[in-house]
Amino acid sequence: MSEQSNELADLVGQDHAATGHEYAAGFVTEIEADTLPPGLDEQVVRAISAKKDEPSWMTQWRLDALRRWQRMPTPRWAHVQFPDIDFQSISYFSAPKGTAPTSLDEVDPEVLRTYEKLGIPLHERAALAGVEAPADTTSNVAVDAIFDSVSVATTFKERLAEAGVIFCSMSEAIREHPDLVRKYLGSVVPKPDNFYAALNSAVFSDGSFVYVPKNTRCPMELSTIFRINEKNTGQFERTLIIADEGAYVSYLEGCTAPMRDDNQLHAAVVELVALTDAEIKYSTVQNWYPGDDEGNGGIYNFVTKRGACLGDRSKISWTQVETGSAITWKYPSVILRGADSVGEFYSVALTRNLQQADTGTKMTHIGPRTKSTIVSKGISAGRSQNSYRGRVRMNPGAKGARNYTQCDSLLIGDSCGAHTFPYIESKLPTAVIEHEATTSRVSEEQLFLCQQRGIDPEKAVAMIVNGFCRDVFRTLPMEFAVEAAKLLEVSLEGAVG
Amino acid sequence: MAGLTADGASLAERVLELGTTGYAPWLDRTPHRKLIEARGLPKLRAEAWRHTNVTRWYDAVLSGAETPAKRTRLELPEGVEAVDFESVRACELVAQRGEETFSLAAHPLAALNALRLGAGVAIRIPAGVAAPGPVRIGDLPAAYQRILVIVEADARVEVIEEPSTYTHRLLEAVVQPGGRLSHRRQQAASSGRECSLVAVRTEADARYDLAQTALGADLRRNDILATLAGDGAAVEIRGAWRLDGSRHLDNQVAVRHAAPGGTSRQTYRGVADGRSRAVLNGRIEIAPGAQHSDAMLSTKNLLASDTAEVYAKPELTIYANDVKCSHGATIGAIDDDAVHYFRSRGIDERRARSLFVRGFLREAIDDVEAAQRLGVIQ
Repeated sequence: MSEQSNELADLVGQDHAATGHEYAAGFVTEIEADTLPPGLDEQVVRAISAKKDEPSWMTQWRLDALRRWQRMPTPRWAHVQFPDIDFQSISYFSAPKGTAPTSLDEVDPEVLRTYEKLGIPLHERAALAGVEAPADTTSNVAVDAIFDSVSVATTFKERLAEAGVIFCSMSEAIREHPDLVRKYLGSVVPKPDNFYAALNSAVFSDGSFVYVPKNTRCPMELSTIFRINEKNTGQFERTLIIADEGAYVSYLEGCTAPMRDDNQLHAAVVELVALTDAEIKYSTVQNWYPGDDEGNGGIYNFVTKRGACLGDRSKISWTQVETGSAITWKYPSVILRGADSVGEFYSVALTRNLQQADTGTKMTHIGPRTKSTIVSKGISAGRSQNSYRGRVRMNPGAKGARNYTQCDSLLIGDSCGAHTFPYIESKLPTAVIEHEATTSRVSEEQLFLCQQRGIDPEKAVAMIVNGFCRDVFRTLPMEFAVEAAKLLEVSLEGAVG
Repeated sequence: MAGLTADGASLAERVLELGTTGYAPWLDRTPHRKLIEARGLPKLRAEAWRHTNVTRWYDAVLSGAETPAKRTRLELPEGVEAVDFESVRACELVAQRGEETFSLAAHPLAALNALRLGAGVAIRIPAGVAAPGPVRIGDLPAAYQRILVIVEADARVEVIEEPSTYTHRLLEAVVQPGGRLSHRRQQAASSGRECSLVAVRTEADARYDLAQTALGADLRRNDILATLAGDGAAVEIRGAWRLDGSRHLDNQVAVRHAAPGGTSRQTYRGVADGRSRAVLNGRIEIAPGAQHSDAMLSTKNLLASDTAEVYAKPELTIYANDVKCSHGATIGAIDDDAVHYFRSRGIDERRARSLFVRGFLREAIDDVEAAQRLGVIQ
């Protein structure tokens, strides 16, 4: 396993052996932060926009989103329960104090230490390990780190620039690449798409921007690390990835937050655009603080992720491993517009204690011969509730389109819930949709068989769960897959017995 | 609650203005009126009404464009008690039914049924009696109808709902321990707008089978709720439908395992042609503690034209771990290879397609002759 993967391992479940199943990323960093007072109105949106020195079109864009959001009712249809969120008690902007860093040297050392604690060296590899990066750098990962509201550092910029790849913070992209941003921002997830997307559009503070030019294979994996640090803040980042004709990019996303008794809101928007023959692979390992054993605290992860296969033969693939958050509520989706375009969704969602998850995908087939595959594995333990919700829609133009969906649930213990809500909609006879779902549990026989061979129950459960999730793990970049399996193992500790 | 109007008071008010009928005066309609007053009625685009324009049904309700039958058509075998819902005996049978078989809040149209109720029949199969023939229920002389079936312990009966017209029909059934109810519903093609609710409770070791064959209507909505309330209860539901023209059929089925050791099977096969719209929401619910439940749902759909629409939503809601649950759903077209195979053996295309459809629907049909008479298969 590469060094990089160790770092990612540490990110997702730092030092599992030593800390048991405690949440390892739950510390707070003491830094001075520039935080807006709680509340949300036009002034706040203007203040955010001003802080980021944005052009007026961006300010207007945000204000339009805010006005739409103010008219929208809070959605309540998901199979999750939580008290009403007081949107006026949240601070919508928090940044490590000081002027925006222009290089790593200007980044607050405390912030850097935080990321190091999380196992992500922001300094480029050569600086970190004291060795030159090898010539073949395909295993390298370029990282954009988001601390509370702002992007603090993006690594490997020059290497990427050589290939023509733009990888920077959204703020920078608005300044440096306004044409691309104006063209694509909100093109996949429009401002009034849903309540939380509208909120994000109004107040998003930062995020990552990626543009891969024509016929370019991005030379390394790109990655964003999200970290919520300040109390009573929400994190609203916005990610936009554009793969131009014939381009390929693989993107990894990881998330952590300190342990706090209050709930914190994370309402991000991720937009992917794949033009003709382009391919985007987006992998998430989500390990936000899930709250304690009694369900106190934890992140509300209400995220809108959607990709548009605009060009013919384009492909978008979502893989997610969701183990964190008090509540996960998201549906990474694909709009299959280009002919022969392909959408994929592979998901493992594990809930335990009092965690709740309502997650799945939407595949909207518009172009002819479009194909989509959905594989969802839900694991519920403790007193948690885990729902798969998905929609497959065949629009009239999707001649010869094809979908295959498999969603399996595994229940551990008798106080949890596993639910499936698939919406299957077809308007044309030549499209074929197949859906199947099963429910199972870790059986006594399986455990007995393992124990008989000297495998302790905890390991046995981890092994069985790992096998259950194999179809999803094999789609992750290799190092990520190994770590995802470990993360599950850690998360499952104490779940049996 | 989601799905009910908050601001749609005007509709609720208009419905309440229609007042209650004087039919079955013993029926306490207070909770029904209160529900509509407090929560209004389901509105357009409510989740449970995504695919059925419920306002078109209200049009029918408010315009009074109902053309109910003049008289009751009911056939009873020996040993089965049946009384008009108006009678005091019906009131006693409702008491014998015990707790409600469905939640009014979840089925607000049933409140409307109670207010506007104009005809009904209560049927009892005494304990241990195996009815020698089927109970046939045809027309009832009102737009809003109610049927209550009580199958006492270890009794057996077949109930056949034959084509009739209504605006809303509510059929409640209780199958007491060891009893068995076979329920056949035949829904003929209709230009009417019809909603119905079937709510069944099966107690320990009781069994309920429903075989429904349907052609569409201008608007047809079937809510079916079967609760396995006692240990070892069994429910089997089969549905076959064939729609053409601009017909509409919306089936909302929920099978709720509320006690351990229950078995349920649901099999649906549907064909949608023309500009028709077919909807199946099939939910399997396993309540906490309903261990060793075994539940399965399969729905397969054929789209026979470019303009027909099929919506399927097989749901699982599971709160117990030692259970076996699965569902499968497919939507596709008539297999051209199969048609080609028929034709290579001298069977013309029309007949080949018809045979294909017949074979496809057959999996969900138990009474082929009845289905043929209805025209679901040829």
